[in-house]
Amino acid sequence: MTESEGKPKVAFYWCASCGGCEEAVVDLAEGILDVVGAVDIVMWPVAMDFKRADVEAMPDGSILASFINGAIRTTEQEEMASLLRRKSQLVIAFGACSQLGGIPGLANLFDREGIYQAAYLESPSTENPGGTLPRLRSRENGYELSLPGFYETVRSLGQVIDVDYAIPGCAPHPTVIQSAVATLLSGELPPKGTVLAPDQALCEECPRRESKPLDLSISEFKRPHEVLIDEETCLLAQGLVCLGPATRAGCGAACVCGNMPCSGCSGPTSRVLDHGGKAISGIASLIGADDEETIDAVLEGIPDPVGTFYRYGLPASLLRRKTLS
Amino acid sequence: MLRENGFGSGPTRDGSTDGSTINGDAPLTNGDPPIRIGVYVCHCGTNIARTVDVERVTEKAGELPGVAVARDYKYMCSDPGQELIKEDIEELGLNRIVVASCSPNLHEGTFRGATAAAGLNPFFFQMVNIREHASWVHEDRDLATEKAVDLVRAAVRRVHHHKALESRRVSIRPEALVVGGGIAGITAALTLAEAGKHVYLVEREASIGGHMAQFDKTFPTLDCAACILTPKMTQVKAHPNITLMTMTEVVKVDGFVGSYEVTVKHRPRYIDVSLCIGCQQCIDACVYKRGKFEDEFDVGLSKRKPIYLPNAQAVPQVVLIDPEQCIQFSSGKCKQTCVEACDRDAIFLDQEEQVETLDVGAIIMATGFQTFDPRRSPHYGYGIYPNVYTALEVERLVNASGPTGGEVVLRDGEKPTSVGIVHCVGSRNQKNNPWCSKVCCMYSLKLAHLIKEKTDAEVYNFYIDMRTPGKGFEEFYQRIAAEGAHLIRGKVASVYQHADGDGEMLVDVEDTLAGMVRRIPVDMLVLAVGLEPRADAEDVRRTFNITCSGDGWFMERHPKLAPVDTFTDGVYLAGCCQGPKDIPETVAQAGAAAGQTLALIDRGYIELEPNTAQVIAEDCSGCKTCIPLCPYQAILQSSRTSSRTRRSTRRSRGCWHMLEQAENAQQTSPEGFEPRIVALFCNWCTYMAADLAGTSRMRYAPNVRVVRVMCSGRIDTQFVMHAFARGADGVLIGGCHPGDCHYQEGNYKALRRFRLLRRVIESLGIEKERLRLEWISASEADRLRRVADEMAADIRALGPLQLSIPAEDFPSAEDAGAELPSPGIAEETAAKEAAVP
Repeated sequence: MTESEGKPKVAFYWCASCGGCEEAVVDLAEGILDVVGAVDIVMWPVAMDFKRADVEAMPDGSILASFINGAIRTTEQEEMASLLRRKSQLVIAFGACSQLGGIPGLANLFDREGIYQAAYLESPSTENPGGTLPRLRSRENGYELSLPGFYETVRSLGQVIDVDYAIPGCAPHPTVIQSAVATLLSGELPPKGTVLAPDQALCEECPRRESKPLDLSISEFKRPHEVLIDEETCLLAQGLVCLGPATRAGCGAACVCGNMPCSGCSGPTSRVLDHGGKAISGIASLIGADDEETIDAVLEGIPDPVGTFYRYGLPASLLRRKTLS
Repeated sequence: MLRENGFGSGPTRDGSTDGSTINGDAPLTNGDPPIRIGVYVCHCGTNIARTVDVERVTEKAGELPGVAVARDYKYMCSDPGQELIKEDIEELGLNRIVVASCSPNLHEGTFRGATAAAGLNPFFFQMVNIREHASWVHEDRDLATEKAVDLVRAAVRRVHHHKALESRRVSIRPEALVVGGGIAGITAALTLAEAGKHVYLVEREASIGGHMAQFDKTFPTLDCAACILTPKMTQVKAHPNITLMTMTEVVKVDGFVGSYEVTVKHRPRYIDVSLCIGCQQCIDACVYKRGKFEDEFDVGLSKRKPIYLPNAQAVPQVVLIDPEQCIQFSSGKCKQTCVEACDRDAIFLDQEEQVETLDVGAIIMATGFQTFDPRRSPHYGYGIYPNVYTALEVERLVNASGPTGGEVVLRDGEKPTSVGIVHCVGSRNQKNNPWCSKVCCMYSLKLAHLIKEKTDAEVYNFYIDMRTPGKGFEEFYQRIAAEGAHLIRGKVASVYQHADGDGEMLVDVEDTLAGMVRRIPVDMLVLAVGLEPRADAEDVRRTFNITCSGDGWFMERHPKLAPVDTFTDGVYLAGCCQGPKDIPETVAQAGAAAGQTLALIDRGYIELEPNTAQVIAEDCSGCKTCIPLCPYQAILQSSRTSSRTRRSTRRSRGCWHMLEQAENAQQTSPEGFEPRIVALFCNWCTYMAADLAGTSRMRYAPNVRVVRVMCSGRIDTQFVMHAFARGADGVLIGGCHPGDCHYQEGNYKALRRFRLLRRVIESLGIEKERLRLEWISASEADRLRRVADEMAADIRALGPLQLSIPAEDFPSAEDAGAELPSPGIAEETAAKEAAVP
């Protein structure tokens, strides 16, 4: 694992994420061996014992590619992202949180104070009689302790550092990862900014596509727990909010194959500016009502529109977050 | 170049949203020539220059990316103005043209033509409306100028994305549909048929002929209406190129100019039209010995049986049965003597409603008018006193084939000795109809003549103004006056019956020429009822997707230059459905409509506006979402090639890509807060209302920047979000009223998106006043003004929209740390706990 071996150097890092993206890499199973054999991993906190100082000691640009998952929520994440950017020829946003802000990005519906209140004081499982909150510096048993700064707003990786490519998904599907890595190793790099997955909507690979009616009109939205979902019919036709038509393909319609609607984790295709906005345009248009009252009644079936249409992408959306008062 | 926004830094405040650069001459995409834009700002004499600082707009335009030349000129639409564009295209190698002048509804064609004349694709041209939408509606020169600069900037930004478009030709079906069989429809149908076109003439009633068939004589020549009309009616019936369909109504119109699919419903007549010869033996044989039901043709002045001939001259000469009145239909126990009597076996009591589809290239609307119901003006006594008649009833009385055989007699059979004719009943007053019905003065004079001729009664015409502007009209008026009719200039105040009860009525009227109030006894009063749109005009116009003006008449495309066209291509107007007119005018208009139809059909093809939607096959995932959303069924799914969609080129209509404009129609404000409102207006209604506000010189808040979209249904929710993200403080969507969409249902889609979008933006802390959807028709300029003013005031009160901090402005890590200590909550909580005793 030295330079003399001539293998390209690769780093993995995680920011605000759940760990699922790490699992996704491991899920490559024996496929991972090909990758590991082909590259020299210089940083991977979840699996290997390299420290920040090791990376800092490397010459700038000496890493071929850094795969960073997770959104940027704290100062530490921003620092590490910036460091890896400096040391890497390519930075790849890995997974929905990194690409779009992800589930942690829904924190943008609140401000820092509200999050602190909920997480450290108000949640039923919290035992915090002293009302202790995270602080940048504190003293405990004579030791000076420090924590990273906590930003008001969650950002996608691309909103913090320059990003070359993205691998979409929550978590990225093994086939997407494999083909993305193959693309990167092929030496024929796609234009900067490319999302390394098919640039078509999920319906392209949906096994239920043919069952989608040509006269679709939705008179009631249902949530998955409220109905017995037919396993063969188009989910939109069953009144379930399936974001497939507005979401990038690549996962093989994994959720639909599991009889659940697409919730949009792969983000939009390249031609869409705002994933949720596009989904709203398409799905709302299909509502089978022409007057305000009935339309509103139908929309009652989507009690949390932001959580539905921006589940994975609020930070990278046009509006990004709830306004701060 | 790829545009991946999903994970990038997103749109920036000043930059492009995509990788493409628009600086100077840089190419938009690899291989395309550099963008070179010419911007031309028109003074329009002083129409624009008085309120908008044209030089400043030009100077600002010159600084915009891609602009090679920016000029201002006195009149851009003039020949030298257009020449300027052509020369610049040739000499400076311009490949995009922006003209900031008046409404595109006026001169878009002109400048596209100038662009094309210099060899550039005309769709590289974009127009900016700084007259109707700026100089004519604002007073503050600075704000109007600033607005003009914004609008020009938006257009310059937009043309970067223009592509060369080619108009497509589609062939046109040679058949035509004429709706309505009055003199207008008859004339139009015959003209087309004579030119060799096949015509479907659809008439709701059992016979063609319309109102004219009910008249006796026509003014001012006093020639017999039947003598000139009946031959035309029979000609229609006999013409090999005309398919006459009576008792038939149009229920649905699909398709597009050149290939309309018209669904018609034939009401059962219970008679086989091809067998009946009009011998009327069935009528004689009917179990009703004499007429019992009001005869519609005689306006209730005679009675008829349930089986009847519509009128003596009816075409087709075929009887019909009224199922509401026939005993067989109500009880099922009639002896059916009519069936026995018919030696042609033409009666079929089990006939049912039939639906048929007609394929036509063009449609002529000739649905006519209805007369004002004088019960709505009870002070004239109609329906109260027996001898108060409408003019149409008197037309039947004076008619030799009418219920009295041409005798003018009262209800009791007596001849009247004193007859009053009240002009302008239901016309020219704010309570009923504000318009002049145009024909009443002349037909009242005609009736005065006919009544006098037949009864020798004293005849009094009560008129407000005598309107006789037509060939031979004034002379006719002089003639009637000379014949001794009393012409009293004044309005009738009231009519009441004489106390002694011999049926005589007293008319109280002001005589403005004599300067006195008079009370005139009459035994017959004729009300010259005005003309008004048919009661179902609104439904009909919806079916045909045309517009009504505010008063309810069908609206012509242009009052002067396109008086028989409508806003829907291939649908033309003839006769009184467009507004009151007399017979010669109706015939002339019907001829014009037929001429327009021929011009359309005979060319054999039309050039379709090329700005229609297209499916990019390699991008399409086959999600089929678009298919149910297209009201024209223009998106077809190919059954053979998996499930890619393909577009039918015939029917799809224009959708424009307006995103670039939405994002750039506003910029950072100057000092002080002036709300920036991006307005996305439907081309067919609200944009026109904004034009009308301009031509009416209304004043409204200069905060609104109008972006023209072809339909509110074209507005992707992304447009709205983009506008907000780029600094708009408010977004106003303007569309057609429910039921009025030019594309049938686009406004409903807009409404559905709007309702969901509003929930989303409210969840994101954006006040609902910042996003409005308003239905504003082309005539509602005042409503537009009110909405714009209201919204500007609401948003001014709310203050600027403070969106999240854009990435590039995000504080550094140190800043985040520095502001982090937030002793706030912890220490406050600790302090509170300490304070508790």
